[in-house]
Amino acid sequence: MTRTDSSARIDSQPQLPPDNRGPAPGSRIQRTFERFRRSWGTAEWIQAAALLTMLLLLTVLIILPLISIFKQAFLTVDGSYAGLAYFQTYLESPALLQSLQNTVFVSFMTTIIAVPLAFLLAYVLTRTDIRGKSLYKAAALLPLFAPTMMHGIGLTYLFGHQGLISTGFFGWLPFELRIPLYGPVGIIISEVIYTFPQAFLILTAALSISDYRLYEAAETLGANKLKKLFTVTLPSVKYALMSAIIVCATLSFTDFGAPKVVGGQFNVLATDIFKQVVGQQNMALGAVVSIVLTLPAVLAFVIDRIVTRRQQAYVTSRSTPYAVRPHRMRNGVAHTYAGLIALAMLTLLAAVVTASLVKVWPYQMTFSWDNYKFTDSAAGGFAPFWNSLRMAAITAVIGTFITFLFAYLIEHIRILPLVRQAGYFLSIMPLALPGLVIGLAYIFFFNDPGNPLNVIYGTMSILVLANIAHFYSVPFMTATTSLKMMDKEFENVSLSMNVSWLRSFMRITLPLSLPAIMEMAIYFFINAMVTVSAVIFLYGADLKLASVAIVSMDDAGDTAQAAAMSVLIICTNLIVRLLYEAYSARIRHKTVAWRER
Amino acid sequence: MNPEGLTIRDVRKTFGAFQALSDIQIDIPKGKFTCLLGPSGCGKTTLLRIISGLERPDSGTVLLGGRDITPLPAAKRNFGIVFQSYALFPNMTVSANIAYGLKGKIPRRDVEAKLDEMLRLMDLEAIRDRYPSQISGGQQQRVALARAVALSPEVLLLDEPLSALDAKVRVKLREELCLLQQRLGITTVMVTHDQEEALTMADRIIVMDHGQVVQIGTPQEVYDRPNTPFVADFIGAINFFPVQEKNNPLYAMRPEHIIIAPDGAEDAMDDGFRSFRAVVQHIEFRGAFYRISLLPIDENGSAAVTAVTVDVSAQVAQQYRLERDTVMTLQLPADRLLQYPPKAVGAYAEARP
Repeated sequence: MTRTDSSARIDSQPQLPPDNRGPAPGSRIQRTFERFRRSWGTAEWIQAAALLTMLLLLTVLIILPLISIFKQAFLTVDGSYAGLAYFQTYLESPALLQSLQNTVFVSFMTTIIAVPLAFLLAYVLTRTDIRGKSLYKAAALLPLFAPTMMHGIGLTYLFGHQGLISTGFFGWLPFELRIPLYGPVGIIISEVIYTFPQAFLILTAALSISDYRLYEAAETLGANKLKKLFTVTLPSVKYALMSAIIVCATLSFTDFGAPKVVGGQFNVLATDIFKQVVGQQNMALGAVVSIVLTLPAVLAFVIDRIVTRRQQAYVTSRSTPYAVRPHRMRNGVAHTYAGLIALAMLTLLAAVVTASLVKVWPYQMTFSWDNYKFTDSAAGGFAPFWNSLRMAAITAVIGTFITFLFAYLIEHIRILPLVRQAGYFLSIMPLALPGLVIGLAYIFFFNDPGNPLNVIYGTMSILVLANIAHFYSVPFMTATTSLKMMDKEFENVSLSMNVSWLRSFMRITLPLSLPAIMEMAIYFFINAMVTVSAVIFLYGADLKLASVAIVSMDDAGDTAQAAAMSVLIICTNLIVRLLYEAYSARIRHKTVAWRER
Repeated sequence: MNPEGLTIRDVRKTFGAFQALSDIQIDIPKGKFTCLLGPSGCGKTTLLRIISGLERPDSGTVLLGGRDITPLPAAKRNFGIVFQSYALFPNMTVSANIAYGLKGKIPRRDVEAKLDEMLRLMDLEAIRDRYPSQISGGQQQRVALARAVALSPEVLLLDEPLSALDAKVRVKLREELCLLQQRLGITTVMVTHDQEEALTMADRIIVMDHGQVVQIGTPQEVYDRPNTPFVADFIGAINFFPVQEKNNPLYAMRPEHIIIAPDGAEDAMDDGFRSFRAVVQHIEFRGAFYRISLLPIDENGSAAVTAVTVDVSAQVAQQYRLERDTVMTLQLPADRLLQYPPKAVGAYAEARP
């Protein structure tokens, strides 16, 4: 059959029309379209429409605002091309260059302090069998629930002019312990506290999946502890270590909250942007500094992507979990270290809480709720707190919905691979964008009178959108991981049984992803509560936010009220987190049957 | 005693309430290939880990050449170990993996020489700069072996070294492993649950069950004269002939030892038990031979429930034109009949409800 067919083709070849030999360039598009028209049913057209809508939305939320930053940096006010003129202004300003140098210094110091500290704690909590690990871990993660300004405020109450430690427990001790808090030292300590839990989480994840077989192999080959550390432990967490370094460096490079509170005269890029834009209304220079701020973050982001991709190949299904051998001395050291870290974190929090609950630190240390009344003009009453709460809740709901939907579209639709890849790239890009840059980009973009979306400027909507764009990437990756773990066969089974797509989504995909969805919502909520960088440019006159209020109260010298607001934020976040833990414990209990094979 | 090789005395080990090993007494001869054989969960891997020093016994001693090495950690024993799935360092090349234990122990010049020798010995020269993920399972196995023997260990321990490989590679490596062991003359202990592996490779087999040593002997001894019904059943195929009455011994015979004859053939021994009629139920072609299952028939002509399996050569099968429902006579030659005390019957019945 085949043979006769091919011989017939050879015979008839001379008669073939020329365009059948290879597609002519013009007809290719037409034929591709034809192919789509023939093979696409209604479902495919709906999917295509959904994917294109997603791409459009991501473009409006991320790409267009970023373009407007570049417009500000490269165009003059009347719209003509300015070239590198603003960049030249930047490079000729010694103050601004000094800030760049300062920022690099802070970022470098933070990283070399925070990463080893976090590594040690992660090591201690994964590689020993001490009791109370969950308490130590909870204490180490506390800073995640607080705005970064709080670390600075806590430090002022401990090491400031009237600080508990700097005055030797208000003169109880025979000596004083003064450090030059306002300036690089304060910023670096704050940033270490801020980045520590992030590095700790990354390193804990890596250290807890190391392969015990390798330790046994090394042991039988006569390796001592040091050799095992260098040949087994460190190589297995190499990529996580790089990831942690990148995260710490980026976060401390772009943070705004801590330098604002304890920076004093020590300027960094983030405070520069704020000063240029809010103080001097110099939008162009603000845009230039934003670009300078973003470039290292983008570079770090690219390195991190390459690094995480390589990490995955390290652990195989044959790996065995690490077995801890009893060792009393080691456990003693471990307790001491983990205890010191927990003590430091709790002391800081306790200082803030105490300061918020006394009349006048340190002169009238009597209990009072006064600071929680927020009566001064800078505070603006309780409204900022409610605004923040509302914004965080809306961000959590809408953000989770959009993120999960987009992850689902990218993961489960099989058509239009290029659109999906573009969608994926746009979804992880916000990871590289500092909050201040997103905030600035949003003013430039949405405040433009020619923009039909201008109506949302100054409303809750723009705050929510900026938060979603800012925090989009991590929940997106959570959703993608969860969807990837789900067996694609489920969908084929549903298809083969003629179960509708929607039904299989509602009955299978959604319930299986519920833990991930909750995790995403919590992430959006907590970050929206603590963030200051993106929203500080965007809040409307009657829509002041709690985090912004902390900055303005601290600026106005009402540090105790700023501390009170910080306490409200951290309490809200802890309550939300605890509710979530209780809920997920119930879910785990209910679904334990099908989760355990 | 066993002044040259490994001696294990009164070793016990429990994990919580689970008794992994109880009162192990073993002598492992120097320079020989010994297999620890048993079903999963019998304690063989735990015993190997105790020998290696990766695990501590609750009590008892491990002696090497008469010297007590029980308190020595694994790093100080100079034993080579090949793990079940090799545990090669994924971040190191083949050469670096093999040289891992050598560095710091012998002069740098000698490391190179030893490494080259190992690569040549294991035929790994072509892949010396590859990473473990870039080589095949069989090659990984050889690297693991090279790494284990590079330090010229006093004892080589193998934990199911062939189980992760596919059948063809496994048979080939089995032979290579034996040759290497003979060439190096190194005392070797291998853990396996594969009786065929143990029979073909070992000089001595130690059969374990439920944390106890059940039998020690050469492969021939263990196969021909299994101590207990468990050993008989675990190694090779076996027929049991349970007798209903109490205090009767349990008889057993391997399928290839049963003689099959046409129905009504004279019983040479004239012993009622050892000759009986049976009807062919199923014939399984095994290539070199046929495995026939037959149901014994009693005097009334009704068939029993438990089948008897008999291995016959292709020649014999054709001679008798065996097919389903053919009635044959089976004879059990006395010299091949295995007999277990009544006590064992209970144990056997318990093991197989």
